Amino acid sequence: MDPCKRFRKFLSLYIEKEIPKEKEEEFRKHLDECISCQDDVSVQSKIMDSIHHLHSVKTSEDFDSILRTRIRIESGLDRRRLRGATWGWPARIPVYGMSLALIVIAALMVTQQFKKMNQPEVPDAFINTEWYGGNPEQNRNPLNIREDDNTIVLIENEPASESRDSERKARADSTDMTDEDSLNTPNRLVMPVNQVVTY
Amino acid sequence: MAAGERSKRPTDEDLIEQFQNGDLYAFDLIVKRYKNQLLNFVYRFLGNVEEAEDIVQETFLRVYRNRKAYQKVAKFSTWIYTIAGNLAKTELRKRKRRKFFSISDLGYDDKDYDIADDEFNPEKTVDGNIKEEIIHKEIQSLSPKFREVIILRDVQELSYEEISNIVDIPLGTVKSRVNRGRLKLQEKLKHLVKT
Repeated sequence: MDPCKRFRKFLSLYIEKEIPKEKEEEFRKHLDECISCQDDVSVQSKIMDSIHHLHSVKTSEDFDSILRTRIRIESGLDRRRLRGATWGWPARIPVYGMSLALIVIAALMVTQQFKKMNQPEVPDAFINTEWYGGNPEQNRNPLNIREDDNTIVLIENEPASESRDSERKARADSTDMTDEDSLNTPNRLVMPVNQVVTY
Repeated sequence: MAAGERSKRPTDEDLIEQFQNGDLYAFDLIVKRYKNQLLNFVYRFLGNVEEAEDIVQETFLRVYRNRKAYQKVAKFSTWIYTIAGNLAKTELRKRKRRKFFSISDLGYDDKDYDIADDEFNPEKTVDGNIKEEIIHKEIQSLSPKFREVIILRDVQELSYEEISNIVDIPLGTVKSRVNRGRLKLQEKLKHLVKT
């Protein structure tokens, strides 16, 4: 490495006499021969001296009184905080409890509303019809709709099988039910075409 | 001050211990001892005396608030300088953000530009005040990592070990950083000291 570069790396320590002993002799010899490095030592020393002698600033006259006031305010706040710590939590429990309850209620309401929105709509004309033969809520369940020549047959999810139809007919024969009545069981609703509401 | 009197003078560590035990007078003595030292350190770091005074106030408030956190294993001076240095660095970051927002808020035509003073010639002989002002300005122009160690070493005259503890970097790094900082200043100020 260039001896001047090497010297510059230790310039501060050389000036401050903190350079390791084994390097001190080597740098002294170099300095005796190198005018540029001598110049560096001189300039650097002057700058360090100038920085050291920069004028000192002093705190303003009211520094102490401002600090005391701030400490007094801080101590006051500390005491209030400590007092708050003894009763603050129990006092806050009902507030937190109420907030939690409100959040749970709101969440339940939203869930209910969401469920209702996802159910398929059945026109009111069907729900309120005199043939529907059951709980109106049941009619809101998904329906299969089959259209015959002159009637519309609404069948619950599980279509009636042939065996169940023959069972119904047998039941109708044993009672005074008409043929049409026997078809209007809770599982099955037959409407004349002219009563079907268009939607 | 006589040698006997000097030996009676409580150390910083004694004072903080007394303060930890509830002696507020000991805190007053700590303030008295350190307020101007810290003010000079922060002022040379930030370049503004009012801001520096606020930082020093905040430093003492932190000492007051966190007195129990101080443990005798470290020197008190190292602890208080670390607090002040950290607050000063935080202020510097805030200032940078403020500067960024205030410039970006301006329209293109509203921006002010610094125009180089062609009349200024550092080779001219300058009186003490101007010379000092130039040195102060050049210290400010160093990056914070160099500025901090230069101030601690050359203005505050702390040992390399103390600086290493305050800045929390290894001793060898402190020495090389001080040297590099001084070489940077030398480049900028050599015309001034050669005259």
